[in-house]
Amino acid sequence: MKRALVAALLVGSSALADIPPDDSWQCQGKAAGVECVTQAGLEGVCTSKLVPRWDYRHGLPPKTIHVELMICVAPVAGPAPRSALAGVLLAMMAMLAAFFSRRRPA
Amino acid sequence: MTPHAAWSLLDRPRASLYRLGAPWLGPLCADRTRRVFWLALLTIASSLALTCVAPLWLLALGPLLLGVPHLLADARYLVVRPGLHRRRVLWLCVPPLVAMGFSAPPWVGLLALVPPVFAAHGSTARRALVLALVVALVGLAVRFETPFLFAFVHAHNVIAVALWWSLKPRGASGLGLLGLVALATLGLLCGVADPIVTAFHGWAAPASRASFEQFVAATAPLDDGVLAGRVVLTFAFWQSLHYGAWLRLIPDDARPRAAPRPFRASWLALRADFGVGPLLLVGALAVGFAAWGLVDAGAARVGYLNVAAFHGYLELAAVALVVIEARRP
Repeated sequence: MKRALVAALLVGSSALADIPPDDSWQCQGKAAGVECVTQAGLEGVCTSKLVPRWDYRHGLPPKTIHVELMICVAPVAGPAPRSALAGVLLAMMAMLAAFFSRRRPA
Repeated sequence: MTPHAAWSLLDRPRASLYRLGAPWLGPLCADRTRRVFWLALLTIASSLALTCVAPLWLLALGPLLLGVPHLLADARYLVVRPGLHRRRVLWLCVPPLVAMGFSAPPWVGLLALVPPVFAAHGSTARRALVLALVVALVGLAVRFETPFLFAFVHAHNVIAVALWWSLKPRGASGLGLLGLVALATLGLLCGVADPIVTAFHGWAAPASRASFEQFVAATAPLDDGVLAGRVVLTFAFWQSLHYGAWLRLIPDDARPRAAPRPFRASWLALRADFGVGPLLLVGALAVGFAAWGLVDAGAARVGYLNVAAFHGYLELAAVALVVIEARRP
């Protein structure tokens, strides 16, 4: 957080891109796909993302705008395939249940 | 040209101005209490006006132009003038303060409050009370590091004004000043200044290379964007007050002689306090940050903040000492 604060103060050239969110300072000046380490200490890859932020240039209340930033993103270990597998299993169970429930009255 | 000659040269137009304004300003200049009251009123009014008209410029330029001189004032009125540097135990405050310049966590800076507890000449009850407060602060800084840092960023501005306030007994007029500051703060937080800032296009200042978003992230990371913006305005106001306190009000009140003194006499007094070498170093640092700011204001501000990270904790340590010894700063 402290590094993010310092980074927030460091970047002064663009009013729109000067509040780096967590895990953005690691990817400053790097291209997409470059390896990095997240604040949580996980190995990740610099990925371009749209980040919401306030824009005070026109006064209060601040507008919410989206800015494209390079962020260090750690690959999610496993959950995606697992959730897909769980979905497939659930669908198969639902089909089986439907099949047997139809056959019972007969 | 020697420094003496340079200051004497500056004193000539100053003396002419004094002679010119003597019929109206004479009594005001001679009476320190009245003079400091009007100076404080001027500080409050100008801080509020600048906060409403050009808050980003105030936030961006304040630390670069006034930061280093106010650190010198910190050292002068908190350490050198009371002679704290001659109390050896208090040198133990130095390592934690220096560590703050190297991004140490806030609890390390708070360790600078421990030596005063043992070195101060005060009752055991007061020492125990201050030590308990220090332990509580360290606990808070360890458990809630980020919120503590944000709270401290704001609180250290208040400490400067409180130190000035406690220098001398203040009468009803002094209380009026405090009331004015409280009213201004409340007004800023309630949005009274919002339309004025908008009218002066104060929400953006691209040439300053600073943005409200930056200062929201650095001083008021709140969920409510409107309140966050207003807290930044309040911070700008208080930061300006705190510079005013260190550079104008405290020096005026702490000076042995009641009347204002010429530039040359001020230079001689400063030289007697620090010596020429350290003053040249501080002067170079001040010019260096200002020049760096011309090249890259954002980086210069961060550089200054790293150098200045110690001074809030130095102020707290001085407050701890003053409280235990039950005296004025």
